[in-house]
Amino acid sequence: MKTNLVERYIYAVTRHLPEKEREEISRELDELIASMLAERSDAPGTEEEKVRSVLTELGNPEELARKYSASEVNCLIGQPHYSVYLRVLEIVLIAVAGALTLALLISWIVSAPESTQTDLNPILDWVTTGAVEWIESIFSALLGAFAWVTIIFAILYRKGVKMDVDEVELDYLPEVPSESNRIGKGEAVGSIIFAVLFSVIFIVLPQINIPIIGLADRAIPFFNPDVLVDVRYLLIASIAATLLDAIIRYVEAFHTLEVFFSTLVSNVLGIVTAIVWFGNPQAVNPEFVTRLQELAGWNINGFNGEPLPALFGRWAMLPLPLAVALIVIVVVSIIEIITTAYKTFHIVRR
Amino acid sequence: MDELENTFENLTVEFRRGLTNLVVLSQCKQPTYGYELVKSLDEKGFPLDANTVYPLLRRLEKQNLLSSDWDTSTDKPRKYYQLSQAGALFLDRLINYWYETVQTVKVIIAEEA
Repeated sequence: MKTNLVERYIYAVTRHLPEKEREEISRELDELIASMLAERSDAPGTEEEKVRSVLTELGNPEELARKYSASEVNCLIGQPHYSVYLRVLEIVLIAVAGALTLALLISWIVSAPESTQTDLNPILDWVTTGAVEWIESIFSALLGAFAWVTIIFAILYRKGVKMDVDEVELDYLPEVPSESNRIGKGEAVGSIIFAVLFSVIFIVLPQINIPIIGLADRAIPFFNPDVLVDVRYLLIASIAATLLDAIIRYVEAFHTLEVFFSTLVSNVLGIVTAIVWFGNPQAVNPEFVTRLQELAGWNINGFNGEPLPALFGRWAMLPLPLAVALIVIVVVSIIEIITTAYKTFHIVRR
Repeated sequence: MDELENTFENLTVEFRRGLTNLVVLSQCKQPTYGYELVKSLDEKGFPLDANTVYPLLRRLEKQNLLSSDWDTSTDKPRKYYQLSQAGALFLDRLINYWYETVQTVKVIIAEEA
């Protein structure tokens, strides 16, 4: 029993070691264990108990084998490879997540249900399927990317492939942003909340959008659902740009070039969307307009004084409220682009 | 407090780890076998586990700092390690370096604020 246990222990150590070293190390360990047993010869306890205590003292055989395998490699990826690994991993994960999200978003938008009826089920299905698909794909893709990068770097580290990380690219160090140009976290959170609300109201639930209660026996949507469905892709693109901008602002926390470009893109898209949507003669639900006129007994007039439904045919005669909203959106967007540009390039120049 | 205690523990372990090679080499001026080394270092107040000493002796031998011989004259065969010529020179350098470092650090620590 005793020899058996010792033999098994030694085998457990040496089987992980190179063939040519096994015999020598076996002999050494045999000698060591014998010495340690001799030390305990006067101690109380059976022979087996002594063997067990000696082997317990020597510890985990695999750990011992690792110590014998001599290399300093005692971790999966050590320095300097680890620093490079972290950088590469970050880039790969972001790239994979971004590319996959974009691909899925396109296929998701294309698969949008056509129905414009008040039945919400196809839309809810469409949204849930899209979300589930996205989570599943992102999870497995990121896991795979992580595994591959890790495996490759573990091999590079183990093989001792040289990596030059000593050269610091001094010219590429980022500018130190001044405190006055910090972007508040609240700003980003605010736009995310706005984007989510906007998406739910105008993209996911176009048949309901802003329900006006009290004009009929049921709620009448303020905006024309058909138009909302028509401009859906534009709305999605615009909201995606807004979300991206909010995330970039949140992550960057200062006015950087990235923030400027994302602000530019999202605001330009916002202006385009507002013009196409509000510029559509049917932008406001005709049913709502008709009901309002019936109930109030007066006409809502456009710029030329004609009753509203009649002037929807001409782009120049936008109903006044929408025209005002459009002008406000365009002005606010332009102001935002200009202030962001000022804050960004003010720092960059400094 | 507990965390500081941990940090202290880790630092002292690191100190000792750094000195292990120097200490073991210094004990191989005369032929010695692994377990003897383990016992004597324990008595001298620098305890090292057998599962550290044995692999280390082998590594030092691979690096040609130690040479080894099996003594099979008794019924308990033992592998004796001894400093090689290169090992003796190497040990001298290490010892000098250690003393210099200790001296430098001593001066630095003793500096008045």
